[in-house]
Order: sequence, then structure tokens, then C-alpha cells
Amino acid sequence: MSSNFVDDSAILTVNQLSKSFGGVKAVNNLSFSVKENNIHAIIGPNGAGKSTLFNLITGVITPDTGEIKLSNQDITSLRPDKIAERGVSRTFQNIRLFPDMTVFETVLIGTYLMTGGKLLPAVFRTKSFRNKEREAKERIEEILKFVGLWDMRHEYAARLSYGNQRRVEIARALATNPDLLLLDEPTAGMNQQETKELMQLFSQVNNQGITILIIAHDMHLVNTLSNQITVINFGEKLVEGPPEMIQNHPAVLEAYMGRAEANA
Amino acid sequence: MELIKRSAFRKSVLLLGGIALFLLPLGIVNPYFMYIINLILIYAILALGLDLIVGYTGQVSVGHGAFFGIGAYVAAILAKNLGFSLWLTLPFSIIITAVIGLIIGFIGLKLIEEYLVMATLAFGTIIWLVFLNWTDLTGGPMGIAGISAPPTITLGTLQFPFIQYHDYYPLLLIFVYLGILITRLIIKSGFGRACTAIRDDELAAQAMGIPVFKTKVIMFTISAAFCGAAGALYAHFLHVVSPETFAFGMSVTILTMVMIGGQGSITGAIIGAAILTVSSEALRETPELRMLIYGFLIVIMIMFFPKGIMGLFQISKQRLLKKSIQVEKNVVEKEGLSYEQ
Repeated sequence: MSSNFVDDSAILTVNQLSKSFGGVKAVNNLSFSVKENNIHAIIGPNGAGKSTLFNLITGVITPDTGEIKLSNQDITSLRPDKIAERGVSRTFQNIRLFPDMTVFETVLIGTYLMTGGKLLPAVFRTKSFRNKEREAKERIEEILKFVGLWDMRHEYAARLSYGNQRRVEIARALATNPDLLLLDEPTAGMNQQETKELMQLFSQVNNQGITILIIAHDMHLVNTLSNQITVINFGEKLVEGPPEMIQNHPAVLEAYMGRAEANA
Repeated sequence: MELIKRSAFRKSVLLLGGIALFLLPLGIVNPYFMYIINLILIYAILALGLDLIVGYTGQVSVGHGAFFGIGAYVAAILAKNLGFSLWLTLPFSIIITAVIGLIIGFIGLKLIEEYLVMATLAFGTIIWLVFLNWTDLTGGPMGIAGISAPPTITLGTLQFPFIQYHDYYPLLLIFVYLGILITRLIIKSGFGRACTAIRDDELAAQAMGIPVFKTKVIMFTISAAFCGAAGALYAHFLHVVSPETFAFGMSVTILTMVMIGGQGSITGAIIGAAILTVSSEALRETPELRMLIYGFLIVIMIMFFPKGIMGLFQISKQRLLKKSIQVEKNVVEKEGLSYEQ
């Protein structure tokens, strides 16, 4: 299974991507592609460059070399909001919510692309403005019911439990109507029950036709949830394949074991 | 249903109160009090304008006194040299301050927050020096006097001339209402929400597709335009403009209004404007002391009451919200209603 980078069914293609910080190569000549409707996992030890990769894909930082394509459209070095506009949404490793907003208000921010955020129609409250506002609110009702937060919509988002805060983040990301959803360690710090429920949510999201690219540490989660895994270490791709193949791959074992020994 | 009734009740109370405020001059005999109240209204527009960028978008400017000044000087110059009335100078003041606001915003908002403060400070100082030294146009330290009063408004057989302070009050009040209305329309829209998102978390806002820089620049422009409008009203109300009014102290005063009243709150901006106008008048004889007190107040507010006076009410508001959810739940269960936000 060698990866071919003119893959038509790929929603995201990363080609020979590199990014250094000072002398450290955070991402080094990395290439992989994500097939449409897959749940694709990125795994690797701490500091392997996973979050840097997400920041590159979403335009938060720009790569030194290489290219990123979204359904064969070049999105390398585009601004984050432009990339979001093209259908990529994300959650953050450290949950980033708006401190003064309720759950409903937070998710409403996610409908910015849907309502357009134009100023003059807003001031004159044109018919199309009011229609869009109504549609946005209906959409949020749908999403909040889907993620199971409808009853908490008037609570301040930042005051919810950790698991529910993550749900708010996911709901906000879904509100942008993404084709590709990037989840950066979404179950880190969750208890078993929360993890289990979130995993169910992810596969439900996936069933709606949204491709998921997920960074995770939890091997159980990765093995049950994803159908393709890319292992990276020191910013480079170690190995790629379906879970069955990755589980027992010597290079993967070595990468993780090597770390374990270093810790001991 | 109960909830809808309650909000309708609230709306009619606000409407009646708003209309009742027009009758205020009937109870005030002393023209000096009327003068102060009129000043409060002008400052309220300034505070609403600055709050748009500071309170709702999280970008601190200490140069908005300059936009106020530009609005006032544009009106003064057009009124004196070309004989324009308020109805003509006002749009000019708004457009010119908006354009300058757009330019300053475009340059300044590229910078990180601390440098934005420096840039607006520099801008304010430069504009003040222009007022002071471009004597041919601005009258230098003497300023411009003899700016016309607004033309008499005729409604059928009724005539409303502008002679005493009492006459200006309804006009200024209408402009404050207009300012409140525009602020509300902006805030309760995708654009306004985008600003709040930027204030709270720029990175997350951008990930939601919000063009951060553009949104900030637009809001900065609107904020400058508010100050321009206030400037034109000020010029035609006082009939005189002079540079010291629009020095650095003015920018600090407007910022203090927003800080004390509560950032990101319309009521807060107006309360702040009222408190600061009255205290400025009380401390009129000792302007140095005034700046000292304001500086001290800003520090205290930032350290202990970052949400200002309105922040103190927020806890009870949250309680009220919880209560209304309970009511709403009962209603929904009973009538199968779906209620949004």
C-alpha cells in the first residue's frame, strides 16, 4: 500500500511538508493523504509534530516547504479563516472557548460563514439577514440536540464539565458546516465514560459524511474508531496503514517502547 | 408564552421611559444643569462609540479624543467658512472621521495590543498638534468660535428654534437613541458576534472563518464615526471648539467612561458618561487632579472590577436567566413550543 498523491478520493493531501522552529524540524518532509469519509488517525509520541501538523493544515502557521491540498485545491499558506471557509474545521488541544458566552452563543459563532457577517444587512435588518439568522438558530438547535447539549444551551460554556466543554467545541466546529473535521487529542483528560461517549459522537459525525482527522494517544480509541492510521515521529512519517497493520508494526512498537524506556 | 409576554412588557417599559425622558427639561429650571445633561448625552455617544472597539472587540484605543476633535473641527470649519448647517456638517464629520479611522485602524490593528495603544496615543497627539498649530485652518490655540446653532426645525405650524440649552436636549437625545439603536443592531448580528469572538479568543474566532483583521478594522471605523458625529454635535451645541478640549486627557476621559460603566454594555457606557461628565465639571478648577483621579480609577477598575459597574449586576442577571429557563421549560412542556435563545 504505497501512497499515491494524485488520489481522487483524497479530501486532504499533504505533500513533502516541512516546518522548522529554530533548529528543530517539527515536521520533516511529511506526505500523506486523507480519504473522503474516513476517520484517519495521526498518532505518535509527544513532540512528534502532530499539533504542528494541524496548525499547518489550518493555516495558523505557514510551512517552510511543501504543499497542502484540499480536494485538489491548493490551500498552502492561506489564512485560517479562508481555510475554514473551504470546509476545514477544528478543535484545539487545550479547549478554546469564549469565556463570556453561553453554549448557544458559542455555537452561534460557528455559523459566521453561514450568516456571512455582513454589516449593512445587519443594520437594516433586511429580509435575507433575518432569514439567515433564523436558519442559523435552527441549525444550532439541530447541532446542540445532536451533541446532547440542548438542555444546557443557556449555561456559560466555560463552566461545564470538561467532557461537555469538548462537546461545545465540537458543536461549534460542526456549525461551520465542515467537510473535514480536525480533532486534536479530543479525549485527553477525559474519564473512560466520557471517552466512550465522545467516540460514539465521532462515529455519528462521520456517518453524516464528515471526514475526520484525529490526533490521539489512546491506542484503544484509535484502533476501534479509525480506518486509517499515520504514525509520525520526529516530524517524519514512520508508517501508515489500517489499524490491524499498525498495531503490531515493529517500527511503531519501537517508537513507543523507546519512549517508555527513556521515561523509566 | 409567559416569556414572550415578559419581554413585551420590558419593551413597552423601555419605550415609555424613552419617551418620558423627552419631558425631562420641563422639570429643570437651572440652565447650567441642562447644559450638563446635554454634555452627558454627547459624551454618551462618544462612550458608545469607543465601547464598540474596546468593550465589544477588545482593542484598546487611547486616541479617540482625536476622532471627537476631528468631527468637531470639520463641523466648525465647514460652518464658519462655507456656512453649512448642522445637517450638512454632520455627514461630513462622520465620513471624514470614518475615513481617518479606517486608515488608522488599518495601520494600528496590524500591531499587537500594547503597540496599538502606543499607535493611537501617537495619533491623538499628532492630531492635537495639528489643531494647535495649523492656525490658518483651525484658529490655533484660540480655536474657532461663532459656530452656528442648528437651524430651526419646523413641524407643521410648530417651530423648534435652538436658543437655550433646553432646546438642544431633545435633538441630542434623539441622537443618543440612534446611537443605542445602531449599537444594538450591530451587536446582535453575525458581525457583532464575530467581534466578541475576536475579543475572547482570536485563534478560535479565526478557525470559525472570521476574518479577524478586516472585522477589527471595520469596527474601528464605525467607532471613529460615532466620535465624529459626537464632535459635530458638540461644535454646534457649544458654538466654539478649541484644541485643549481634544488633548490626550479627552481620550483618557472617554476610556474611563467605558471602563467605569462596564465594557461591552450599552447601559454601562451611558452610566460611565454620566458619572465622568459630572465629576469633570466638579473638578473643573483642578484639571491636573482630574487626570490623576481618572488614572487611578482606571487602574482600580482593571484590577478589581474589570466589568465595571454593570459587572456588579451580572450575577443577578445570570440568576434571572436561570429562572427564565425554568419558566420556559414549563411552557415548552405544556405547549410544545420551541423557543430559541
